[in-house]
Amino acid sequence: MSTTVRIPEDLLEDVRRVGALEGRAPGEMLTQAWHDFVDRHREEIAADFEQAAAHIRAADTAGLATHVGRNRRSRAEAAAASAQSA
Amino acid sequence: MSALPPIQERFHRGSFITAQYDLRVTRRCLSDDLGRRLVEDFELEDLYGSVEIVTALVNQRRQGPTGTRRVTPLTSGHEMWVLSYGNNHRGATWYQVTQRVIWLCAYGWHRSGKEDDAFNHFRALDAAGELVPAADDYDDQFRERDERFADLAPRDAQQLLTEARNAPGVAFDGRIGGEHGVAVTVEAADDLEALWVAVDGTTFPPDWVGTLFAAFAPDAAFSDWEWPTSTFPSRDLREGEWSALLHHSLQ
Repeated sequence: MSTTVRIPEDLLEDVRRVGALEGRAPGEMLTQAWHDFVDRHREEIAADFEQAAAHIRAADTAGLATHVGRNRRSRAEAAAASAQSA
Repeated sequence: MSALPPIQERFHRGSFITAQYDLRVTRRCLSDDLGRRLVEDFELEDLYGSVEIVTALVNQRRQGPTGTRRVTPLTSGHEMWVLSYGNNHRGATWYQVTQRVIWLCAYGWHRSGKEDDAFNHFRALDAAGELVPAADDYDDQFRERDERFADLAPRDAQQLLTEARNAPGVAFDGRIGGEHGVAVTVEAADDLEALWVAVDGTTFPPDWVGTLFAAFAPDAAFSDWEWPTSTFPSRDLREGEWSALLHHSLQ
């Protein structure tokens, strides 16, 4: 099954160029990129799961909140920078 | 197949939550324009009905993200909309689609031709780069969403799982963390159970993926999950959705 997604035009152009060099369609390139991303972050997500599961088993809601917000400050700073340029 | 339950409109901490976005006020606007002391346990609801522009924010912007008139000219190019209450109360609101939030960025008193007119105030803030939300505003917003997710996700997941187990093979649409749409299907054979979960990958925060899986099966191992998969047993995946599959023994 396939679907339609929206990506920035300049990124799509890059995907097309690289795809043309490798003889692959843009959709195939993006699917591969997604699987590469998951593979690269699998250990990180596994550690995330283990910590979250421990908090849930212990019914530690405050600990779970701290865990899900572990990257909050960097996300907030990125969002503020993005807001300035929006 | 069940329908996705609607998000209940309500106040929660610094937000008024609607189905499409949250309504919030920036810290700068609260302290400098509305003269409020910034406190850790700020509740937007406390200002509703007593602070005119906050009442207007909730009553008007819950109906739609924009007004009828833009704040112009702004050198930053931000699309700010005029929020009015009565003859003189004016606010500038900004719909930030990526964060699903409408911010009340500034407030002032409209006095045509006067130096301290609200629109002069808005333009001066814009020129100084102080009209849009700052990192502390996002920190507040994200902390409240994180806490809401942590509070609700384990219970939401288990409720959905119970419903799905009662009707094997049927897709149950629900919300996890009170916000994010999720679909769940259970298939059982002998003493084995397959649990399928699908979420919208375009809006679900990557930082919460591990917690999502743990909320459904806190005693499983992450390696038991097959993820990401691109199929779902009881319906086609929707645009932007990914799915995950957990096989486990019922014994």
